[in-house]
Amino acid sequence: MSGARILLVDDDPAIRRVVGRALEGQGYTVEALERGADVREAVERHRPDVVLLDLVLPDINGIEVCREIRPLTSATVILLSAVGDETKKVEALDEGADDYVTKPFGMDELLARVRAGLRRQGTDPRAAELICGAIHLDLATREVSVAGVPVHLTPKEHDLLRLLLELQGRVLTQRYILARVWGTEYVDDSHILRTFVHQLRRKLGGADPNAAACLVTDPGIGYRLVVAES
Amino acid sequence: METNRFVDAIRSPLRGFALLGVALALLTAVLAPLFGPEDVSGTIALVYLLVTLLAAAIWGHLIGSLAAVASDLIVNFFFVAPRHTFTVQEPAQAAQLAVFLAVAFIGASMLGLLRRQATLARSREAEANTVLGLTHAVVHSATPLEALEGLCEYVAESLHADGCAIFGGTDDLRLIASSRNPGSQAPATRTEVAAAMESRQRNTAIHLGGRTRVFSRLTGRKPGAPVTIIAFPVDALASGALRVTGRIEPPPLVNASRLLSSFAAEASTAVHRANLAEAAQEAEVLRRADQMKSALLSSVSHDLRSPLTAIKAAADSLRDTSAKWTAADTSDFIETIGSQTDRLVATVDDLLQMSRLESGAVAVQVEPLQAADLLAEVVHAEATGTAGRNVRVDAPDDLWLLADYRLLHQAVGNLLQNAARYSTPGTPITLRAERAGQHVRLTVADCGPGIPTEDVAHVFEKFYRGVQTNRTSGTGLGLTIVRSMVELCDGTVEVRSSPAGTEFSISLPAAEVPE
Repeated sequence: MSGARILLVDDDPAIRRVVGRALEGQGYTVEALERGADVREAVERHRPDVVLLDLVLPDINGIEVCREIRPLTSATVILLSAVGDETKKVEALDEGADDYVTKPFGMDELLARVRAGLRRQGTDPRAAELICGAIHLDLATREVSVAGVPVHLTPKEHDLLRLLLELQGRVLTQRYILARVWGTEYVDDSHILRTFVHQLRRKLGGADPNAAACLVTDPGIGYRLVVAES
Repeated sequence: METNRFVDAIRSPLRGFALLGVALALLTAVLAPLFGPEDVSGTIALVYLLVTLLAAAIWGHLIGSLAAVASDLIVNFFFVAPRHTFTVQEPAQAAQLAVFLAVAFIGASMLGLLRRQATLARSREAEANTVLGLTHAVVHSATPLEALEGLCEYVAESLHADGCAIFGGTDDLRLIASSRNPGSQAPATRTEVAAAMESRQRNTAIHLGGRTRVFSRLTGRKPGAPVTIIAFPVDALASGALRVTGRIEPPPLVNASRLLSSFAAEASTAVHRANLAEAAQEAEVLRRADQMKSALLSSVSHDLRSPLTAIKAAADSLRDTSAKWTAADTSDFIETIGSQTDRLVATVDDLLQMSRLESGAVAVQVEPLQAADLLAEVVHAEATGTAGRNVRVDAPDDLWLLADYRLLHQAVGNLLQNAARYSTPGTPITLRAERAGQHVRLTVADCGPGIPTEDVAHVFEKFYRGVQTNRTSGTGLGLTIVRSMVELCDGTVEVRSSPAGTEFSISLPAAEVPE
């Protein structure tokens, strides 16, 4: 999706200049901002497809910015964070951010995340079937198959896989998954989630070892189903 | 008060004995001539019974019993026929005398018992009041240590002793608190530690009488002053001991050893509380240090990661052959790698310098320095950073100060760099030296736009960057380093700022002009 609009928010001018230039080199239209306070207005004006948001801004918190812009846009929000920002990162993801990269990130990684975010926006929510690589889930019959081999899942395993497929590529926090699949009273029971992810990986891996590897753990944050690069 | 003293005065048993003798003799001398032998069982017996009961009420059951026997004999001798003999004429009279003796004896015993109980109650009350006073003193102290000192004062005072000290520890006895009088602060001698151990085992106070003579010069105590030691438990691990120096004289009616036990129990609670408070304080200090460390780590992490991110993005882009970069793009990427590497090096240098200054690894050599010379050298050294600015030096030749040359040179240099970086481009910067009492003041002044009011108080804090300053233009450590360097030279640094300009002043001890 060349020509997509990207909003880059970082207080460091060197990062704005170099990363902005690198993204433009890939054919994206880049708008760079220094202050979190200006993001809202820029989102309304430029209608970006992807927002690259520094988690630590001098004026307002990145978490605050996420909360503010989420109702305004369906753009993919990717956080630019540092190691040690885990708590803030989880909070921002819960407030609607989609993904994160850790500084100093490689441009290849950032570009791959941007592409995944753009691809996700192209997915049709009314599709009859959810697909990620070899994994297929038929929404009508609830049948799951991996590389053509039928896989039997319990109802909760099915719900978990469906959520991951629906939001594939996006980092889902443990609390988010627990609330969506098990209910809000379970948000702190991360051991349940670990057990189910383990079972799901075993069943998917039984049919095709590559399928289990698609379910990636982000330590301390949550899980994501990675989209195979086409 | 007067009555009490009188009662106290006649209460001693020996005096009681004498007074009883006198009373009986006087009574007999008055009554014997007046009454004949016919009045044996009536009025006379009642009068003597009254005396017996009075004696028992005042002096207790022993003297009461003695009065009963004496009265019986007197009645027999002086008032029963045949008079002046201990024999009786009629058997009925013998029976009457026996009944008199029995009544007097039982009456005296009962009154004696009541008296003993009353005394005991009064003694317990006095004891309770003493302990209550102590609790009051402890509870109303501002700090746990003050409570322990108050406890020592109170114990020494209420026992009329010379002084008191509290010791405690897990496997030794170190002084925790003491009363104010000299000698109380002395550490526990070996004899006293042994006594504390014995006290713990036997669960009683141990008195050491005059054996501290050998240690008197060391301890500063009165030679030969007796010492009382009583041990108490504090918690599962620690124990403590109360040391009372000097002769112990408990309040009237109060049992000394019971009072000492109560004091020990109170000391145990107070020491336990002090230990808890100390632990809480230590935890708080650690928590703050931890918080500070996290904040520091987060700042450092950000300061190192930002330039690294720019360098990596530029290098990755240059490597990427799929994109078509213009010559301007390429040179911009290369320029970024260069400038961001410089920024990283500056941050790492500042961090290392900060850590050396903070850890005390910097050798400080204070010597007399000529202010004008030093300022001129700084201006020369910083010529590159101040290019395009008019830097003026205004310093008299005869002004000398005491400082470490290297540290002061760098501190003034940092201030000059700061002024060049943050003031309006093209405006002049002035370096001034002047005398201020016993000090010499070195000032770096620029012409604006000044530091925002909300930032002025924080400029010397580690990693503090002004609300409006660009975060990339410095490391956030420069002024902290300046302050550390100046303080190592026994100087102070302060800032004054207004929209018309900012002045950083370093104040250092003045030195004599060398001959």
